[in-house]
Amino acid sequence: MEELSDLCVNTIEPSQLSQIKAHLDLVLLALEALTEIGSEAMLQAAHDLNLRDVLSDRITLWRLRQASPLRKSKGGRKKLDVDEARAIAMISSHLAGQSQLKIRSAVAQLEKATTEKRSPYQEPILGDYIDRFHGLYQERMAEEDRIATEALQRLALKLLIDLLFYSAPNGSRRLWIALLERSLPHDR
Amino acid sequence: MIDSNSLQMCRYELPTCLLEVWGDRSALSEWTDRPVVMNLKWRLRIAEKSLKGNQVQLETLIDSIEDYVKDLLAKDQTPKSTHALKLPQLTGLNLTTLQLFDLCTSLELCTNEIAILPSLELEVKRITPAWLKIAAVLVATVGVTTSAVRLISPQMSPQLASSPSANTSRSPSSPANPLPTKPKVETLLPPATGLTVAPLPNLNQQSREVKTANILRTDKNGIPALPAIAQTRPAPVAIAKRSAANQPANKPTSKDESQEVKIADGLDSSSPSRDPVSSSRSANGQAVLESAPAIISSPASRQAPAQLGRVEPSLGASSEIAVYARVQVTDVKTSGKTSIDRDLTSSLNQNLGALRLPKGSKGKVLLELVIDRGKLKGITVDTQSSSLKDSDTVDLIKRSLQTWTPPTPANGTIHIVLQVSP
Repeated sequence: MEELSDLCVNTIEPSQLSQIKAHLDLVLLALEALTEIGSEAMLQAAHDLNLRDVLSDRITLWRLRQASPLRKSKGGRKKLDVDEARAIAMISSHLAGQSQLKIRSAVAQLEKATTEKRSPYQEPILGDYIDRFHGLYQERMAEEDRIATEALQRLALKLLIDLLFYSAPNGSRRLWIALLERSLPHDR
Repeated sequence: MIDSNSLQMCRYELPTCLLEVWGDRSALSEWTDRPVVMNLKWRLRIAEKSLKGNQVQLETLIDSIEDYVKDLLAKDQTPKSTHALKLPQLTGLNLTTLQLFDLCTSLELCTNEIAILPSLELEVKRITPAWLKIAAVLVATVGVTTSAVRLISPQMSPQLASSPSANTSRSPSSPANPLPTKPKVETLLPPATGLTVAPLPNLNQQSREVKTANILRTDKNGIPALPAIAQTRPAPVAIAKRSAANQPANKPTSKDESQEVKIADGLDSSSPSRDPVSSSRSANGQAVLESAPAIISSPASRQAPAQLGRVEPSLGASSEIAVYARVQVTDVKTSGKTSIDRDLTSSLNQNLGALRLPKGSKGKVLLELVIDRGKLKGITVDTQSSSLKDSDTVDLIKRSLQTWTPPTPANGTIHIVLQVSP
């Protein structure tokens, strides 16, 4: 936790926190779509990072994920505090780091497809990823927050590139800075 | 093998880029978790391009990349396939996402591994009195132009021209290292030059004044072009500026030769003209020559002018001013608890100032001195790294050092680099 605590977090407004929750949930969603990691892996990551006191079991994890304002279910929503958000950010980049090879090859395919002006769908890893991302998004997110398929595909690819940067050694710091930047009013 | 303290080389090889960073290991590293590196240089190969630069440029590179990536991650923009990066003072780069990521990661790994010491140059300048700067630069220039500029310019020009660092601008004071296999050693020497300047404050006021006056006179009489070099020396110089500075460097050489001839004439003529000559020679060589041990020897040589006269005409013919090769300490590294390097350097220079080495000896000698409770217990010569191979000359240096007493009682090992210049 120390790694991220030096970034000023005392001044986070509730509205910012809500933004952070929404984006963190999307980052994890992208990671799930690409690597098929489940809650088990997330809990293991929490254990590896000594974050068990923040994230002890499946139920807490589920509640934390449900905290995203974009989510369908309003029941069981837990308020996500800054510490929990940081924990999830660290877990996300930790897991991204474990899947760096896969993320990298997906990005390489995206680069190739873009230069050759082909649809990313035709690439094996990318096609699967976009499909799964689409499915998970439709399954979890509330109707009113849904976006068009094309926009969703763009979002999926954007998150894929972001994941590459979060998979680096300083990835969690990068993710946290990105979350804070995104949550600032002037950036919206 | 080069002393591990003197060179820090890091290499970060990622699938699409290769970053190499090297520099001097600062003594501050003892107090930090990561090695502290100063006088840093780097080289980057990415996207079929090759970039290189100094510390300031690495910092701007890191800042530019960091800012770009921060923006990339924080904004909801449609993913771009190429990233056009504008880099101040460097050629811009067009990178793919993977290249950008690899570059970013290598820079990150580099900054995680080493701490880059902010340039201490400004600090040093501020506390240096103006007269010392002039004296130091002239001592360095006069002492070096005769041999070093001539030796260095052909051999080192590719490196000098390519590294626009403030520090390399001083490397002419480290006469050419005849070992072509170790070009990096050159980059180690600039900080050492600072050390050779250091002994001056330890001399008594009177000799300082005399010296400055002599130097100024020499300047007025013979070498009007030198101050131009002097200006480029302490200040950071850009590539273009330096390559320009390299050229006039040849001119002073020839002027210097005429100066030499004049001095050599002085030596031939009657004794009244000898005094200014001998003092300008000590200014030429190393300020330390005037310190205690030298004083003992010089009156003796003055008492026997006939003897001197016999030796020196033959030198005048070869337009060489120095009768003996000079030794000066160019680098001191301490481990364990020892006093400040400045004291050590001046004390070592005092010891070595009295030393007379065979004319024509030149090169570098790396030595390890083991000090136990303020007494010198052992001298080891790093024969592999030393470029001065003549064992008799090295023995002379060792014998002289055996009489040396460390200025403050301490324990530890000192690594010193001596520069012997003809």
